[in-house]
Amino acid sequence: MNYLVSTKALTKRYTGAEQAALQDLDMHVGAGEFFGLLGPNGAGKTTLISILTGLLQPTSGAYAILGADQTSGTRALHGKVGIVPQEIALYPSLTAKENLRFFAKMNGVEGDALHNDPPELLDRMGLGRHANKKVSMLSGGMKRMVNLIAGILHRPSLLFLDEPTVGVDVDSRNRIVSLLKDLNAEGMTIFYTSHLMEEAEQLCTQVAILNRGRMVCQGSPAELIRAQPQATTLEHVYLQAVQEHA
Amino acid sequence: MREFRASLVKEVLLLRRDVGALIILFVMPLLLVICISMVQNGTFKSMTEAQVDAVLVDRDNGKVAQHLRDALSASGRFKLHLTGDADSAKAIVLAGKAQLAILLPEQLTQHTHGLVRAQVNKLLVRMELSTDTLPTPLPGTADPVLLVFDPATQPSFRAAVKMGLQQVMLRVETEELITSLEEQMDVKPDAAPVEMNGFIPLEEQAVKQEVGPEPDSTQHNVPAWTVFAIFFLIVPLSIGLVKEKAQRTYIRLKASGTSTTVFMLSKVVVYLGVALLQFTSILLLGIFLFPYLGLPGLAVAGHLPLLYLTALMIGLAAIGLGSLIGAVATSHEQAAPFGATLVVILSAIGGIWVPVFAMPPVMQKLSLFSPLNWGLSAFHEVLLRHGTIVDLLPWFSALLLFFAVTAAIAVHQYAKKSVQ
Repeated sequence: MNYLVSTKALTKRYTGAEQAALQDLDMHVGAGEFFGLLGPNGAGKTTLISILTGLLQPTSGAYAILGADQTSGTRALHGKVGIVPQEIALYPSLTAKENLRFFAKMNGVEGDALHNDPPELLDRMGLGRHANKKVSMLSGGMKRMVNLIAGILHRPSLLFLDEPTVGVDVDSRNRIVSLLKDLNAEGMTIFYTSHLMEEAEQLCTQVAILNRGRMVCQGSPAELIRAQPQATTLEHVYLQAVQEHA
Repeated sequence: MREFRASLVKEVLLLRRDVGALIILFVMPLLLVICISMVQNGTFKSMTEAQVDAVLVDRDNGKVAQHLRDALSASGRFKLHLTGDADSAKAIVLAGKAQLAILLPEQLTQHTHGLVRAQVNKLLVRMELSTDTLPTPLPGTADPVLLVFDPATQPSFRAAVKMGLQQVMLRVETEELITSLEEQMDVKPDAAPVEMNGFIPLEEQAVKQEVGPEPDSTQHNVPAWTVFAIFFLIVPLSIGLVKEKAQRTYIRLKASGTSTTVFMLSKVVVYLGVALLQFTSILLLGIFLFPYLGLPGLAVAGHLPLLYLTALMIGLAAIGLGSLIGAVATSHEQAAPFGATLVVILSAIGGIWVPVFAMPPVMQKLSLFSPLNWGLSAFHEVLLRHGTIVDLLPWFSALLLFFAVTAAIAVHQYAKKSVQ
């Protein structure tokens, strides 16, 4: 199978920490998948995304993204990978449109796409009339939607999303979920973390549960539910897996 | 290149919308240069040209005291206010209404005339113009003329006033000596008066004959405070870098493959533009506005290319330092006061406040390590010593090296610390 993300015995130990943030992690994400990385706070989800996006170096083990191994550096993946951090990684004093145009340019978007895509996506997310407002003037939900758009304007092959729907209202969440589904349907591979099990069950084709830096289980939500006789939802699977490996 | 251009536009937009930063970068330096130049020009005048308010207590009421009072008034440097006793004179000084009190002692005339006559008598005996070999009784030690200064006056001001007073007193003593000599030698009243000064003329000459006007307070102040102002760009620059760490925008760029060097380079270019704009605005201020404020105008004729090159080098050094602070600091609350205080310390060490030659030896050695000192020395080399590019090379090399080292560490540290 064509894996866009693969890790082998990936370990990360922060200086001075008693326990490894990630321990011997083996994982594969195939092309076109909507991959959900689940786990409680401190499980190592953000650390894994930071390593996979080249921001952190692993202590040991190996990984490859879009066929490029860890020695290639982030430059080799320029324009092919998108990231939507958990924080609102936007410039508050720039408008929504200015932010989007800037991040699009930095990811190699040019020509018509640079002019047309930001307003189109803002319209789709119901933010068209807020395009020229400074980000600092937008509501929390609006900021989160702009934060998402900034990560997808260059149509990356692989998109990392760190809790993209945290703290947003129902309407904004529906818009985000709908957009993510469409992007995945268009072929974009999505690597996503969340604490919202219902959302993950709805979106993900593959799920991995991390606990205390270790992989607890991996499979499609349906497979994982079937594997546990008493489980009827992904949330049941998750709770049992986390309790067993506490 | 496209990424670099996009970063440049972003930096300009961010800066344009940061009113606080714009005030720090463009308004404060101009106010600083105007205020410091006016204050220092006033201080310079108060020690050389301007009249000093002085309370005079004349407890002698004799000819010498009158002579001294006339000479002090004639000197034009003292505006005398007579008062009756020492206590009220001291009260006036303590209230800050006069900078000093001059207390003339009792019997000043009697003592001075006695001493003068004794000296003249000795002289006449030595010249065999008098047979009076009897020793003239010495009139005893005269009480000193007392000076009481306002505690708020600076030591340099006191020294300058004392020197001025001593000149006046020396003149009075000489005149008394000649008058006594003329009296004892029965000089005819209609004889031509003795010239009292101008025997050895004293003039100041420029160190290089081809140079223009003599350096004045503006020529000294503007470069010093320009260096200080340019270095203050480290405050908004470091805050901006810390914000981009905290907002995680840098992380987003880094993850998408943007090089930290490109990210930093766009800041270098924009802030270099800021430094040159600051410099231009201060130059225009010095050349065109200073004369309207009663200050000497800034003379830059023939030096503009070298001055701009110097400002560019200073800007680079300031950007290197600002980047380093922004890379290492973990919050803007940390970066802003640290950056501002560091500039003040480096400027004090670097001779911005007090000339390096006037500092204690230890501080003079320390000044060699301040980039503000290198920048100021380069400006002096151009404006005051009329040096060439070759004369400037040592300063430019130091500033460039400082930029290279600080910027390299900043790039490394920023990439490292931003993901922690």
